Amino acid sequence: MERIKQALERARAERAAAQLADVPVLSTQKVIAQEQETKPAGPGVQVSYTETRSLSLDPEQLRAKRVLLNEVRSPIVDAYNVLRTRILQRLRANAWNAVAITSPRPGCGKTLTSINLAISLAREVNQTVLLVDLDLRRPSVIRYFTDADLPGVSDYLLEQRELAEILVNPGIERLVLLPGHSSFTNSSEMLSTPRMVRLVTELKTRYPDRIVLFDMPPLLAGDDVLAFSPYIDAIMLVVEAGGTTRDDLRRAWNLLGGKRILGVVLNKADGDSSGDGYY
Amino acid sequence: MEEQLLSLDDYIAILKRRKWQLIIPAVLLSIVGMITAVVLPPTYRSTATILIEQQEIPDELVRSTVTSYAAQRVQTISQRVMTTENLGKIIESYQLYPELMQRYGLVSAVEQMREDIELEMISADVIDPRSGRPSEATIAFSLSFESESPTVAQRVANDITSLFLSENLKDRQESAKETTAFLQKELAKLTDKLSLLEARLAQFKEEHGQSLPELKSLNMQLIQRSEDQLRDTEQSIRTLVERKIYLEGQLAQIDPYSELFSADGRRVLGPADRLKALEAEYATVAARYSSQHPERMRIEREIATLRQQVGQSANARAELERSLKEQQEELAGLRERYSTEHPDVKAQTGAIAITQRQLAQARQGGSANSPGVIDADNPAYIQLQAQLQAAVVELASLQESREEIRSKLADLEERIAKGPRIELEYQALTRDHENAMSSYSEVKQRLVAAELGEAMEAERKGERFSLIEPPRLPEQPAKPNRLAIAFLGLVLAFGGGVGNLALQEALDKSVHNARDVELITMGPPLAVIPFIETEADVHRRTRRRLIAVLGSILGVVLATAAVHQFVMPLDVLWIKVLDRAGLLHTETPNPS
Repeated sequence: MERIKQALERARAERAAAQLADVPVLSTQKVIAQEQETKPAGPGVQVSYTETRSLSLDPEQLRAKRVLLNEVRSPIVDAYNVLRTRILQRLRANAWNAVAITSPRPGCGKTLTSINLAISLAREVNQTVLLVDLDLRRPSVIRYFTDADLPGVSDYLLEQRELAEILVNPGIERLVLLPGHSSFTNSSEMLSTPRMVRLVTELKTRYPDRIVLFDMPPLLAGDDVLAFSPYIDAIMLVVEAGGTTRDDLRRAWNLLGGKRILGVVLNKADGDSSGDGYY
Repeated sequence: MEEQLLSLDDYIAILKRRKWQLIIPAVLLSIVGMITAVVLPPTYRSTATILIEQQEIPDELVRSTVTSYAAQRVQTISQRVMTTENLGKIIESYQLYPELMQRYGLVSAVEQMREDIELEMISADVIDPRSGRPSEATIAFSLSFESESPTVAQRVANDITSLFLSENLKDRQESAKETTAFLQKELAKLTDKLSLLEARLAQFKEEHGQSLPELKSLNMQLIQRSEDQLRDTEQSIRTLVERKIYLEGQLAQIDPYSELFSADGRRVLGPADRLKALEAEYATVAARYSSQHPERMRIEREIATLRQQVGQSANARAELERSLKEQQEELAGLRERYSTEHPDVKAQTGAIAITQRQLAQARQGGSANSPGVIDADNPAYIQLQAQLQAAVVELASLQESREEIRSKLADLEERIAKGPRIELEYQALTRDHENAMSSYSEVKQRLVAAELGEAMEAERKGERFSLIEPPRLPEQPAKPNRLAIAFLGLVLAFGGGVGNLALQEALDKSVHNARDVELITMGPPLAVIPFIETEADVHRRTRRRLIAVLGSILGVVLATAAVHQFVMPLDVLWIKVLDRAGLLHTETPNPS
């Protein structure tokens, strides 16, 4: 453990230096470096030395998929920034770093919100962000970035790939994706397998400055979120304006009653009704 | 449901969100309204106003027998007029409702006609002359008929109006006649009853005429008089009896025969004296001579003859009296021992009766000839005897009249005694009679009034309907008010739109804004992220709008062209629309 600490400190120092020097350093590369160094100490996690995949992104295409990459100031970006700041404040206050993002029903835009939030978080230089696609029924995160068929969590769970093999860098600083790849019908059972638990623990605890976002299946459509909730710190609920019914929201809220709820995000709101943050 | 007060902003947000849900139904409904306003066929209405005139002759003089209220009567008449038969005739003669007649038959046509006929009461505030309270009285009514043709409207209205008027006349006259007939019948009944009662009363009077209570005082007087008479008679009887006794006494003292003197100057003895003398002589002769002695036998024979002559009457009576006394004593003795039914007693009683009869005969004979002497020759005696006889006769007649008076008195007393019972019956009879009499006179009076009323109705001087406004040929259609319908259509369309919006909003249970979230999560949402619009979205929206605009323009053009082609040329249509909207100020073409 000593060595881990040392490694962490060193990494921080390096990053700070990199920031000071204004040299773009891909955090994923650092992660790989970390993993290489910590390999002997990793309890049972077999990490192979593989390059993290990098994706070349087409901003036009991303914009068409409503992913906000390098937007100028707009009400939407502002809204995301508000969300980012509030989440960060809460996470820091509670020393949390694992957030599940879900919604009462499908179609609320939680995956897109996760992506945009992850990008927004990554834009702030103080932390790295890992977005994990845990919607094992319909994994879709990676489709926003590329059409390529990349290996993902499913491969890891089926013990076909190692963690390092499936991480993807979408070409955005401080952001790493963990795609879902293929879908499971028994997704909630898969989420509680020891291998999954090990993965989550690994992802959460490896770096203190890393925020892990889990894109989860809809809350009321299955028990995935509930089954998985012990392994995460907080849950964020995405609600679709004009789509989610009050009853669904109430049920979802009551279902999460005892859990650590980060809050609710009202998505797809009317331009004017969002109100605040527009100037 | 968490009720929340919505601010103006919220309403605006809702309106923005659902503007199409408001606009589309509103537009559709207003189009429907407009089309309705234009398409509805014009209806013409012809109206007659009928005044209900009060009767001309003052109510105090002749009271009408038709007393129902005017409004009620109008309704009754309308029911009578609007029978299927009446309306059917009108429908047939004007060939109304050809479609209805063809498809459904007469009954539904008549029903439609009833709907088209409108009966409206025209009322005025008046003060009821009877109760003095202000009330509403029907002073007139109007009858209208609606039709798509102004001429037909007028003609039918005319027909219906005349039906109404004639029906009213008929109704009133019939009603008056019925009243009279009814009263006449009642009067006949009462007359019968009355004559029956009178007959009974007459019979009763005949039967109990003298005991009637009204004769009571007369009877009392009669009793009084009879009693007086009785007393007088008795007085006279007493006097006569006294006189008779006196006369009898006198008579007894006088020898009926005047003193006779034989040729030798000896006074000739009367038979009684001779008898006494002979009886005295007989004692010496009997002592002296045997019974075979001729002297003695002569005396004996003489005595027997004299005895027969003298003692017969007096002695026989005494004998009878004696034997009667004996028999009576014997009967008393028998009665002590036996009951009255005993044969001995009965026999004895019979014997007594016979004896009494004999005695009475003897006495009568005695009294008749009590003076006993027919051949009396003493003038004083004869005079006395005549006086006595006169007294006896008078006494007898007086006694007779006394008996008469007594029986009359008894009769009178019986009459008085019967009085109260008879009075009851009599009163009952009289009462019935009086009642019948009074009701008879009452009915009679009414009959006279009813006949007057009937005469009044017959001469049409009673309350009547007079047509003050005959049905006119309508110049403008009464219905539909196209502007009003169009306006109403617009209002309703807007209302429908708003309603649709409200309904959608009420049914929409989804979360719309931060406040909805707040209400459930007890805190504001972390963030409100607007919809991220891509260029594709913008494109799509623009294109959709373009298509919508072009589509509607094309639609309108196509619809217009279709109307022009298949319905009627547009210029004609325009004129028609203007005409129906009442904006075209031309004379209505006269369809006739």
